[in-house]
Amino acid sequence: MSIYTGPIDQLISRLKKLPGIGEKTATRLAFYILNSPRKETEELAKSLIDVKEKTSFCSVCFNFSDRDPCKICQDNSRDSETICVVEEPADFLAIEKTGNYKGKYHLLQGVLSPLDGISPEEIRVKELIDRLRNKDVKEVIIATNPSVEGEATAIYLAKLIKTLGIKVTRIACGIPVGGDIEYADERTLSKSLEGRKDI
Amino acid sequence: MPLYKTEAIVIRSMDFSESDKIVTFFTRDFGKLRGIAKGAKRTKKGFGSTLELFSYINLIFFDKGNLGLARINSCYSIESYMEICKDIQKVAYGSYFVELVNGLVGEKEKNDGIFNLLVDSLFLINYQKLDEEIARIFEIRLLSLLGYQPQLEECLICAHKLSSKEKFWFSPVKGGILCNRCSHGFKKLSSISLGTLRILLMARDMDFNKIHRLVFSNQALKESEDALTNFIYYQTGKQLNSMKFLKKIQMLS
Ligand SMILES: [Zn+2]
Ligand SMILES: [Zn+2]
Repeated sequence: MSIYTGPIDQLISRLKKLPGIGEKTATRLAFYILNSPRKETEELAKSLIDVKEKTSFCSVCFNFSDRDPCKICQDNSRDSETICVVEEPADFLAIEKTGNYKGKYHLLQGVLSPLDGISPEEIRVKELIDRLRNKDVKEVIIATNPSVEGEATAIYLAKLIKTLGIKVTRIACGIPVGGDIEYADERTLSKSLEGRKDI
Repeated sequence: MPLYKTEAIVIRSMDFSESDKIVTFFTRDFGKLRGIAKGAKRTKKGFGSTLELFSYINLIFFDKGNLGLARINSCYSIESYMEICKDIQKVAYGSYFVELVNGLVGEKEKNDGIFNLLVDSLFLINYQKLDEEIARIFEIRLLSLLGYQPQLEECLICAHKLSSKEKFWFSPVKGGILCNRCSHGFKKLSSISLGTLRILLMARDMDFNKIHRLVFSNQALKESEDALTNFIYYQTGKQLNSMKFLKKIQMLS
């Protein structure tokens, strides 16, 4: 249905498959690439290939990494007695950006979801439990999203981890900064009450 | 665009773009409805957790009246079934209910009975200890409300009534039971005892307020699961994800 044909049309339809990119943005990006110097385009193409060829998973925490174990798993200045469990790299990045967390991570690479057919075997649950069995870990912080699936996954993991005698905590979820108590629904409000702390 | 208001249950909620969600509802007044919630992933927009799976809400939306996406304007929580997500098995059963409704009900087919069944069944698993019976009860009642109900009272061919002297077989293809004599030559039959047939009929017809008192024997659980899941498989043409998930979870625990 596109006005353009051949390579331009192909590039636009490839870009459109990327998350969050619609027809308009894809077209704009395609023309930007078309107008940019050849060297810049070659570098972009090379980065796309490199990221596929040179990146794999860290065999300890299952984050993306160009080395194994990854930089964070190798970093001895980080607290190895605390592990923060997240769903995916974007969540890891968000927590890392706060600069407030000095422990290690474990990436589940997903979340339990009956509707998507994702059972414990499809995500890195077994690897987490093995890791906890073999290493001296004092606390596991579960930072899955506060969605139904994220919450169910957190509670599922907590039950497993507690049988190993390790302390499990859940990040506080509730009214967001800038939110309004009056308009919060009961799930959000009760989460906020559960996560309250001394001031 | 006209503005509508209805009670709704979230049966599927998916991230669409960086800030939007596409949500499928089963609504009391409009049946199955798909809508887009602009800015739902930004916390300030105020949808809170009302667009989470299983949420029972008052939904306000704009609609052009065709089968396209409705625009979700706002939502007010009625019940969020918070206990469900504390148990992965409950999440799996709840998911099975909504996946069945999503798979078997057409877009914008209003059905008050199914709406109440969904609200009541979620309520039951939220507040009560979970028993496998609830899946069978949900299946038989949903099939009956959809008009697909299997014939469980007499042989589909010779109309032989239920009796303790006769052995019956369930045929997912024919959608009901066959007496021993009529069953010859049919494939994929599963045996179904008189006790199982009687309890399934009760599960179908009983007042829902009393349904939690219904207890299936182990034989009835096994036979009714075989019969109903095969029948649903035959209707939908696929094995439901949440059913596969349930089996895996039960194996792991
Ligand atoms: Zn690592
Ligand atoms: Zn017969």
